[in-house]
Amino acid sequence: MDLKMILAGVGGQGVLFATGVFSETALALGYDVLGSETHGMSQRGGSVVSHLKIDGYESPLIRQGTADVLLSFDEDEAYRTLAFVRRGGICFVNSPHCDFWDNGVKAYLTNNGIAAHSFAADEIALELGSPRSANLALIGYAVSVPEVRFGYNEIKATIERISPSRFKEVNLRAFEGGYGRKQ
Amino acid sequence: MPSVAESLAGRIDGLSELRQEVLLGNEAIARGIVESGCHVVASYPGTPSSEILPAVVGFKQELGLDTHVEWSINEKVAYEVALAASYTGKRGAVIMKQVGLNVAADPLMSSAYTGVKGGFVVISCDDPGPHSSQTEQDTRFFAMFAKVPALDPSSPREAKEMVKAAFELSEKHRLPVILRPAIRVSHARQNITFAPVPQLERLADFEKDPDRWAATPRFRYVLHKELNEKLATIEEEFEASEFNVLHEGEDNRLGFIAAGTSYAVLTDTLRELSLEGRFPILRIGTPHPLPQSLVADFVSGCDQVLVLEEPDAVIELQILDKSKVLGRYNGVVPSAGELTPEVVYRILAVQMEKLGVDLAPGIDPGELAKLVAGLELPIRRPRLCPGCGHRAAFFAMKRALGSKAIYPGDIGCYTLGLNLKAVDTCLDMGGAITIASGLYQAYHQDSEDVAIAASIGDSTFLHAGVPALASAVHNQARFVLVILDNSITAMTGMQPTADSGILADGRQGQRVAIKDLVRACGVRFVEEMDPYRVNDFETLVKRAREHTRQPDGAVAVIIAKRPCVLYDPTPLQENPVRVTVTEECDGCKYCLLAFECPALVLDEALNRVVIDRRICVNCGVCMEACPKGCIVEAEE
Repeated sequence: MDLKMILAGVGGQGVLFATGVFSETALALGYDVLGSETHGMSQRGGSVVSHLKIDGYESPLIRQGTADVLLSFDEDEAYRTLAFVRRGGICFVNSPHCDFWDNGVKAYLTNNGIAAHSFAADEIALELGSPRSANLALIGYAVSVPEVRFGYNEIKATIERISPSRFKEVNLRAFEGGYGRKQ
Repeated sequence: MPSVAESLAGRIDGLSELRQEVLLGNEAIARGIVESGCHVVASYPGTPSSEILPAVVGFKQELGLDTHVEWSINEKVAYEVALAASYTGKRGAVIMKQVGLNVAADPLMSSAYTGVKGGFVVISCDDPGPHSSQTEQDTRFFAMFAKVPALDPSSPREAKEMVKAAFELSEKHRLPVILRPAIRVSHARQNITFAPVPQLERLADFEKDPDRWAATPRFRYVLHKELNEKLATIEEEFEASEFNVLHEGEDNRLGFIAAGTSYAVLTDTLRELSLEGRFPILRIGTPHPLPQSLVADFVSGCDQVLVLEEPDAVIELQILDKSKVLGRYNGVVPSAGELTPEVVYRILAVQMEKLGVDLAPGIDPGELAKLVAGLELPIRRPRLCPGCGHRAAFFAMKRALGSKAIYPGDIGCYTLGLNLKAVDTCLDMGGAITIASGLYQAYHQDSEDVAIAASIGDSTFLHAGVPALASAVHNQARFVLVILDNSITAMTGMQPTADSGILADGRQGQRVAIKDLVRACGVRFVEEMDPYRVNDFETLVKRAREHTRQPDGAVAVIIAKRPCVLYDPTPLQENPVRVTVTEECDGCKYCLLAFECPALVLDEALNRVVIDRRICVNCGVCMEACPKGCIVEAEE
């Protein structure tokens, strides 16, 4: 399925877990996966960016301007990582405002044919009383968009399989909550 | 002793041979260690190597292996413990980050001469960037320096195979072998196929051979000649190593010699640019000793050769005829920083232009960079966590001794005391104590009495602080030393320390108490206190400073005891202090600058500091951080 994804956020937002959801799903589908994550000093409150490349890559890093999909759990981190997205790529940003983009950046998105979705994943997670599940709500929303080539059932099965038992139920509800709000 | 292949026929771990998991590079390396039947594994934690030993523990427990696994007190100790296992014919592995090899350089150099008996592999993880280190040093230079072979993996999968090859190579030539994964291998994730785990039945059998294991200089000369012969034989073997691969190309105006992560980045970048298969590539997995014939043949078939490797120019340096070489020495490849895909792309773009090869135009990252720079996004610099005891200690130290005092610091989370201006130097492990001693002597020579307050973490004190402290006391230095004891090695991912007594596999071992060690170093002023008691702690720091100024004064040590909030949040859960900011707050930002808790945020609209409840851990320490008394305990 040749796919390059960037997942971005700040420490504590579950960027690494979200990456695991996609990489485990790809592996279950029989694809090779390769990715890169942030550890060490940068984890003390800094930005967390993870790269995920599916099917037939050698290097775990994605070059700027070549990612198919960006999933950002934070507005500022979306700005910081937008440069990874390729012409005609797609990005999903956790934001309570459907149109938060700066005007200059908005023109950049249009000029480069980048489809930008913003989605209030925090709201869904709060409604469920589990603010830390926003990552799964955003994944749910992203999976509802056909360009993201992962199916609802496949992702759901992975979440069921890899969630720690005490978070399994709320993770699934957040995922379904995000999926259900499709445009 | 039976070979691995023989043993494979013996005990199989019972798992399906096709079991596949997405593993961190460091976990793949750990898997390689257990699939090699290694008997003794020792390490000291350090990014990017820290996850290897815990993963070995995981496999050991899952498979019921009797592998000896230990967090040693530092890298030199770890090296020698694993080396001694090899003296007995067993297999040993030592794991560290690249600067850890500086600490273990002494045994590395010597063991290259003495050689080994059982397979002995040194895993030293490099950090091009650097992301989490004080230098970008290249472990492969240490391999050259010590005259031992080095293997350089380009992916987690290859790293696992190279661990096994390294044990075989080491055992065959009776030499330490270095595996050098860079951070993008250690912290990459890839699906890895598990192979069976052999049980290498080897009983410890140390054969006395003083001309080798206790060689005097006269015999060292003989051993040196033996080492040179081993290295020449290994170079010959590397000429045909499966880890060196030639990819033919149709356009020999430019060839690439690429290694490790740089090979991987080059391959993906050429593919993205539709240049796959166009230029010949020689992939080198054995950077030392460099297979000279293989390389010379490759170079002779190309008009020019671009060498891509990191973090330094180790292959490039060894190439004998440099007339066709493009690399770091002629500025084609930058001499500092990581060779990210962006950097490799820029290097390629320049070369392609010279060759008249058109690249498909990509998206212009410069345009977006300018737009985003204009947004002035908040800088997310690393900060101490909310509730961190180090913050409380630093705040009290600053209040006691002021900004004229000199604050030597050390390596760990608490290097972030920089942000509170309570860390003025950060040299290396243990450097806080030695720099404090040297500063004292330099000022004392001029009859100057300057307040010096050094800080060092518990694990770092045990690692390199003990000899430093003994030496300082012996030489009559005078300074305040605060040992920030959070009961764990926090920065690298919560590894237990000798002071806790907990072993690498979670069992209880013998505790080695920091307080006892401090006393044994000859320190007479030793006090322990919870730094959350900011006012008392401040008084204690002042008392310690007074001790250093008394006629019979000396080094004064304070042990600041407060468990890491990430490791053990229970004290805060049991005794929460919920705070609020009163309306009298005038937004002076003193608390933000001098205390810098991420949970204290300036509300621009209110011009008042507010508590970010999402991350506040209710430590209550910030009540001390407002000189105007505006941070108070919240009413129920």
